[in-house]
Amino acid sequence: MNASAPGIPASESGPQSAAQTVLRTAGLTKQYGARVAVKDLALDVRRGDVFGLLGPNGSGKTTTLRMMLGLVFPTAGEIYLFGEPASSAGARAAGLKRVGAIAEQPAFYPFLSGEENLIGVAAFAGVPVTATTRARVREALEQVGLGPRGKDLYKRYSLGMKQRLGIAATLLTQPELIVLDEPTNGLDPAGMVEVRSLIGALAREGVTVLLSSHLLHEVQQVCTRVGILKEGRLLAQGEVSTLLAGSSGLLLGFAEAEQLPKAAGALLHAKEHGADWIRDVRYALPDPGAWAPPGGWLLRVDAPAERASEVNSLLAGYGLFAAELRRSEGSLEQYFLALTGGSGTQSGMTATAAASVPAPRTAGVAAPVPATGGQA
Amino acid sequence: MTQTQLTPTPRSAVARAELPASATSWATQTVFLTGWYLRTVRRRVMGKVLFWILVGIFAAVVGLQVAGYFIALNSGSEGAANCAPAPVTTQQAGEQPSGQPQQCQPLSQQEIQAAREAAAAAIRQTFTFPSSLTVAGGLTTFIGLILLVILAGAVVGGEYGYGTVRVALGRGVGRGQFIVAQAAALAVLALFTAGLMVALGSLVGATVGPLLGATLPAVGLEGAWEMVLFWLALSLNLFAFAAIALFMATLGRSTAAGIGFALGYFIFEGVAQGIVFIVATLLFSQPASADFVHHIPDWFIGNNVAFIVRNVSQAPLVINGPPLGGEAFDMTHALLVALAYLVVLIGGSYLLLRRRDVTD
Repeated sequence: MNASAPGIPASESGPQSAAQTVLRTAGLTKQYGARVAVKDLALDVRRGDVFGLLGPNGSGKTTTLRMMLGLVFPTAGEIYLFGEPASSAGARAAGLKRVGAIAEQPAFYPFLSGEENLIGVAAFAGVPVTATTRARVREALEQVGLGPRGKDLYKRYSLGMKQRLGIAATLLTQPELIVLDEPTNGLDPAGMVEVRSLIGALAREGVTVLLSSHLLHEVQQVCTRVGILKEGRLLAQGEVSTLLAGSSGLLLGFAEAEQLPKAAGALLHAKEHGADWIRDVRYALPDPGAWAPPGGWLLRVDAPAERASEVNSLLAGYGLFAAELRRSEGSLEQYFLALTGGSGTQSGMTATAAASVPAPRTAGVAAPVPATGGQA
Repeated sequence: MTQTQLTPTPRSAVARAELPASATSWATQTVFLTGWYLRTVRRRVMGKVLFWILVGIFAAVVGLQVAGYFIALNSGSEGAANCAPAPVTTQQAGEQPSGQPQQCQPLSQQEIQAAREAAAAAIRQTFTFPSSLTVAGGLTTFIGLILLVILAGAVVGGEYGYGTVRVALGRGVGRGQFIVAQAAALAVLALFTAGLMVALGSLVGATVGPLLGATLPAVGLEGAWEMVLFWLALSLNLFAFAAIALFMATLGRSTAAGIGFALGYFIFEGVAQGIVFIVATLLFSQPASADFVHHIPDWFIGNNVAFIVRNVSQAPLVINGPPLGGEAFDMTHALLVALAYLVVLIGGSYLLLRRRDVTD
């Protein structure tokens, strides 16, 4: 983890009673031959959480979910469902009765209708098929907007409808924990918003949600806590707000390109001479569509947002005046990319710049060169 | 994307219907699962098609038998067909063929009619109870078996193909439950298929034959019991091969593996018996080896279940004649071998799944 990357250690978690912990893993490890898919994982999903499991492709998210659902056997470690170890088949079955999950892609019988498939899910959960079961099935379909299409064959469904049916299946038995693996895959933007709303509604009802997603902005919008995986290891987990608290800062734009390195040098100088509230100074690209200063670069100052006026005064002391000075809230995307060492420019700040581009040490030196990857 | 919109209605406002309580006992949940698999069979187009193929083939066979009956009854009343070879005397037999045209001795109309009726009666007997069950049983253990194996492979392999095995296990279905429920569903299908054919055979035998003048034998309690045993034995015959499909579909995690191997084995048994006979004959100089080879088929599942079918259907109703002979085993051997195969196939399926990571 980058020293400047704000975060909570992977071992974060205060004392939690068993009643509060819905899902916990301890030392969870999965090895396929010599390849370690998940290593010593200690996740902690608490009642009422909307927990986001994040990680690059191949980081072990799906393997972790599979182990939780009893599809894949851990090489080592333990999974606790609702406070009980799920190592034995009986305990696992009892725990999973309280879980609704989509593991990977939704899987249903193509020759059955959506309604019949949900009756099958009820049968898998040990629920007898009665008039009440059918009524609940129709409700679950209504809940995801598939009510009018419930009698259509699954094979006639679009990808988005299949995804909705998968979500309906997770809701069917009114579980205490819902596990969603990439729940918005295949959905159109409106569908994504609706799924997020549904997750929010579930959370308000006290249902715990564990979701894995590549869509970090989506996770940031709906999740209260996240766990970040890379190469099978948990790099960090904690409250989203806590993780991002340290990554807020200030963005400065200058009307003249040559002022940018001067301002950077001035701020670094101040940092080295007492302004220790300045954590870092880096170049950054503006958000797409946002105002771009001459030269195309902004200056990002990692400092508490309430220090904005001090930054302004400090620069004024050097005869430098920012044409734009605004708060920059930390995004999960930046945090994630900084933590996992990924790259990208999706939210306006180049990830590599955020993670590793050294700030200029003195004013007028190491002027930013706009280049792929945002290297200065 | 369709126009269907997902409505983010608050859960409490939507979920008014409370589901019935989940089954808590292993057995009850397994029964639910079995019921579910049977339901999927009923809803499959394949299930319906195979059902009607079986019924259709049976109807076609009965139709051919009835047609044969009428053809025999009304066959040739003139020309050569009404001629019979002249009686051959001892003296004529010793002579060289003279090259003269064959001498036909015309039959009287009464003789012709009697011959027709005898031929027709013989045919009529095949669709008259209990011989009608012989035909039904034969179709069951051949066509019925092939169709059931196809269905078994589709049911078991489909779980892996569609990925629904993940849904089931992710809902807390035990791996043992999963296999037992599938095996139970296949057993029910075997019972249904055999029962259907026994019922159809009985129905045809008790109606069509008598309508055409045949008389029915008294069945009695013993006869009814024999029919029950016949039905169960046919079901066992079907189930044995369905269990092979279960095992292979589980091993190969596919429909094709289940169907292909089970049907392949069905064919293999027939071929292997011929090969074994030839090898045993070639080993005539080594009696011990020849005897060993000769008895290899005694351990084939197909031979043993076929033996059971024949053995339970000989008296008082003569559904099947006595065993073909050549088997050096008895009913106990046959039952034990059949049981051992089922234990190995179903238990093996469980062992395959028990510690397997389900990743597809």
